[in-house]
Amino acid sequence: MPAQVSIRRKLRLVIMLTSAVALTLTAASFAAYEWFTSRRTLEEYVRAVGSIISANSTAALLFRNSEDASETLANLSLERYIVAGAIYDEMGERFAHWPAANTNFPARPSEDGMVYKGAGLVVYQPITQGGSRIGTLFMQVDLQPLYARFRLYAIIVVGVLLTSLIVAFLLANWLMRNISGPITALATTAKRVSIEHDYSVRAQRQTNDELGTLTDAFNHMLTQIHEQDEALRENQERLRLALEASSTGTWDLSLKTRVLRGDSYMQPLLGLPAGAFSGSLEQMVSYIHPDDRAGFLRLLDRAIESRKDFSAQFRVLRADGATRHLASRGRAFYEESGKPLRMTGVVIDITDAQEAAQALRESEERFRSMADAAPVLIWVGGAENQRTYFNRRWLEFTGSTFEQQIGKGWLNAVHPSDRAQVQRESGDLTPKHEPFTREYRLRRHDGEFRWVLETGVPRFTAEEKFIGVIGSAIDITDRKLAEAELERRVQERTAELAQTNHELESFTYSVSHDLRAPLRHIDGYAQILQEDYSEQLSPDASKYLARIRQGTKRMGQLVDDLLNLSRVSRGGITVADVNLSDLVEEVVDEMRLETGNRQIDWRIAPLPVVAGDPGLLKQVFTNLLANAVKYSRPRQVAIIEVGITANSDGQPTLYVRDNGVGFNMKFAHKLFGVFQRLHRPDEFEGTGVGLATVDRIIRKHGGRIWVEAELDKGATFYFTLGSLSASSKAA
Amino acid sequence: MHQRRSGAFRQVAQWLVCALVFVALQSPARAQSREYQLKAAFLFQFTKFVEWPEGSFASTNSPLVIGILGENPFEGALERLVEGERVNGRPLILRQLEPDAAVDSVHVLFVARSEAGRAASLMRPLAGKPVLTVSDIEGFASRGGCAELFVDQNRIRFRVNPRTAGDARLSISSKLLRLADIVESPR
Repeated sequence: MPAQVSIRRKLRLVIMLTSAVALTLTAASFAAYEWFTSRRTLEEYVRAVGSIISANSTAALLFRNSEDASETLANLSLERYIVAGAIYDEMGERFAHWPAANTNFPARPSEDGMVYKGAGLVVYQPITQGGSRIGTLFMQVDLQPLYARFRLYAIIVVGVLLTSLIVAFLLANWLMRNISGPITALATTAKRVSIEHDYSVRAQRQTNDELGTLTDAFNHMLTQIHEQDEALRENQERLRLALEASSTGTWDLSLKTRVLRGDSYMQPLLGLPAGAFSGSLEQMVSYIHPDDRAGFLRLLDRAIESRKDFSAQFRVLRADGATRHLASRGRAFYEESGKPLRMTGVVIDITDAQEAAQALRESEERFRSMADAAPVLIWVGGAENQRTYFNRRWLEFTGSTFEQQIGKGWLNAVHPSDRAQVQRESGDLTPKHEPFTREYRLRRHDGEFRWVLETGVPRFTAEEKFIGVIGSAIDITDRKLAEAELERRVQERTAELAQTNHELESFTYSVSHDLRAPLRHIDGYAQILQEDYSEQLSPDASKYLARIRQGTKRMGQLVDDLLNLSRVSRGGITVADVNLSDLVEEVVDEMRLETGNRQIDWRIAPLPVVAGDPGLLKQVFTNLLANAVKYSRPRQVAIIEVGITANSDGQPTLYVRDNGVGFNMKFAHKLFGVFQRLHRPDEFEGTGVGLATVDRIIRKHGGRIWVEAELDKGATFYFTLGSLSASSKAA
Repeated sequence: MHQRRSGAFRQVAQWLVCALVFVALQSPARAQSREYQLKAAFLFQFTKFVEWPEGSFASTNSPLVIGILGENPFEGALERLVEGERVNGRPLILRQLEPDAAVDSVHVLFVARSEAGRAASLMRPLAGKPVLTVSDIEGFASRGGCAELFVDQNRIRFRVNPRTAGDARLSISSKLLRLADIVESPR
């Protein structure tokens, strides 16, 4: 049906064609049915007639009475269609026939059955008697009357067909007005919309059926188109702004004419003023750097051929002389036949990105060169403890390839005993921001495990996300060996020193001990002289004798002190619970006997119970309190404090403070040495052994002693004890 | 059905054809023989168009008995015809009757010309018995027989006495009757 034919005519044609086909098919099927049934009826009728004739001919046949057979056959004249008949006997000889005038019969019967021949039907039927065949009946049927009936029938059918078609035509014309009317109205509106682009017109709804719905849908569609038109315009505006803001040029290449049209943003990319681009692909190519032209065209051809998107990066030599890097992407469109039609795409200037990428590559290269040149092993690891980079030194050291070491492969070179720890430590790194160091054994290319010291710095993104570690390692095996050697030597020397010390102390002890006997002699005899011979001695002699005894006494004191020091140094300590408050009270009580009339303000704070040697600890307090009493002698009222405080490390610290003469702190380092004295013996008596002994005792108790003092402002001795800090911690 | 034609029937058909073609051409002696061959065929065909009353046969396949009284003129032609034949499922039996035999024990009784003298007396005991009596004795049908064979213009024809047949409770097909000359027995 031609497309421009109006819907009215099409509908009419549809109705007429449908009616005609339906009527024709109906008539044809009726005719066919009539044809077959009438023939079937005729056949059955002829067969029945034949049977009657046969039955009536049996006796005539058997008794050879052809007159009688002929009479029976003559009955056929009553039948309208049968025009001739004959009876053949068992041997196939004609026995009788009708009509008598006709001699044009088959010489012998053919096979039983009915055969249509021309305008007639030829019938052969058996004649039987008592179940046995005794002859054959032949009949000639004329079909002309039948065919005449068919012709009449056909004429009637054609007449009915034509009448029906005329009625259908008239009916269709009348009915179609309801359908084509609204459609024509709709078409008029649609034409107005498409020609005038006026989306505000609306079609008039005329009926309430599907056409009414169609009109509504059409009107609704017009509204939507109107809205979409607005949206499209808005999108185009947005796209224009986006392209403008990003300096993106768009182009459209006709693949048939090779005409290339670029928008006003594309031309500046080529350094051309707007409108200067003539519009051929060849001109475009002429701006491309000669080295990139072939590649550009090849990519273009391949994209068109393979039906994939076109993507290329190339340099252009701009009209203003600058070389810029451009990137372009495009997509080809094809005709239905598959022939490429056009390609459209975008182009942007990527020079800055290219330069940045180049700078990055160079920076990377620089890092690699530096890392490879470094004498240490350098690596970069990812967040999962896998490593992504090793410098040349690492690979040389382990004697393996980059591929063997990458990922977790490097762990294979770690000593099996250290591997678990290294892995665990690496896992622990994740949340920490601090650099770390560790030591482990790494297999060198010659198979020897070498100790390496590894330093790593965790790396984080700007969002504080852990992304891995960059680290370095150095071979410290030699240093470790040297350290071990040094340690060994120190131990040796220490042992030697201890031996020497021990011998020296033995010597001191024996010397001191041996000195006591002569001293006792000297003192003893000097005393005898004083007591028994005082009358005989001059006052001067007595005075000298008193000096001798004084000197001897001092020397005895010195020897005793030295012996004590020696004992303290050599002997062990016997640990027991010591109540320091009781201990200090006991010492102070002893002191009071000696200080007698002096005014001393004792300020004793409550002190704890500690584990220590009771005798030695008493010596400590005796010495320190004696010193305090001695050096506060010039004071009208001496103030001596004993207490407990905490030092700068928070350790419990005992102290003994006086308000005595003090000393200059620059001599503090001498205070605890043997025979070291800050005052002359005529100022303050003393042997210079006491504080040395105190120092030894405190060391033996795992503590230390120090002093704070100022000249004329008094001194404070602080000391700690190992058990004191331990018990206080436990408490 | 028509494909299967029994050999015996073909023989009959051949006989008929031969009879039709040659009967008039043969010498008188031969003619005598041909005549009886045709008569034998007619006698045989009669059995197909006659129905015997109920009780005439012991059972449905009991044989149909043809008895010949007097001098057998068929010279074996009848024997050849009926041999192996069946009529309505019954085998056919040919029996030569003794002159004083009981003639009512057969279904078809052929009375030969040799018995022309005592034909009437022979018929008497058969009155009312279902026996088809056939003969070529002149006037047999009009004198108490059922069917009589005769020669007319060189063709064998037959007469039937429907009354005798009706008395014998025999039902003769209308087809046969149409071919026959109908005779009435004198009252």
